[in-house]
Amino acid sequence: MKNEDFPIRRILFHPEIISIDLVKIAQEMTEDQFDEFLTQYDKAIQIAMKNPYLPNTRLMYQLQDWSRIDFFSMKKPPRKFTRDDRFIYRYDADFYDFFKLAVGLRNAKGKQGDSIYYTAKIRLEESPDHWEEENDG
Amino acid sequence: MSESAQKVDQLFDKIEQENKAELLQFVEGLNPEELESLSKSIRWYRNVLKEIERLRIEESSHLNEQNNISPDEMHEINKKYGKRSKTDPSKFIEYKGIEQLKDLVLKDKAEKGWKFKDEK
Repeated sequence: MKNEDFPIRRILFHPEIISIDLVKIAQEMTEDQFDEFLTQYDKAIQIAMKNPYLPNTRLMYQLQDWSRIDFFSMKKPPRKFTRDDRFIYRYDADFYDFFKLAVGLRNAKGKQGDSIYYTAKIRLEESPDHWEEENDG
Repeated sequence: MSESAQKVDQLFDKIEQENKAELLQFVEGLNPEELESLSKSIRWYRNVLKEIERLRIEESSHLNEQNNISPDEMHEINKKYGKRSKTDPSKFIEYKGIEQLKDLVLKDKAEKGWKFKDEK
């Protein structure tokens, strides 16, 4: 990916993205859902890499150099659903490195958290219609 | 520039140059008075850094006023990942694509024996 505004030499990820984050997410999904999730995750990464300083993404306190982007874990989320996942990243403008720190459910509470799959399942049971494609951005 | 400020500057230069031999030679060459003076200067530098940190947090807070992230979520993210964010950059793994992530997850699965939701 060529990006003249924010050149990226290396993309690096924290080992716990595998051993903790993705393993936890995978266990809450079928394998097909997980594959879809990985695609959605990668799309969110591409958006962040295109402009690492998007508005409303900056974190603070211990994570003040980091940013986060929320994204849907499924390609066609039910209407009016909010983005259920987030990933945390940092762009190093001195060395052109893009660091990925974490990925996970937003507002996770308990085992199910606010997984879109869990919420969608509940809502789909209540109202089986009204599904539409969500555009990126 | 005062003598102690010069020493601090020299120390920073040695560290920046990543030359272990020169750094050690510089430290070993310090006499007790210089070390004491350096120690005072370092304390001053630390206070300055703390103040810069405080100002950055204030700036972040200001930015956050326009940020759609809730204070609860900000707190939750910090609690979950604050410690992780201090990991040395050298511990990070180079990313090569989704397939790499999937392979590593499946490797973890094979090692630990966990299952996807649709598996028996």
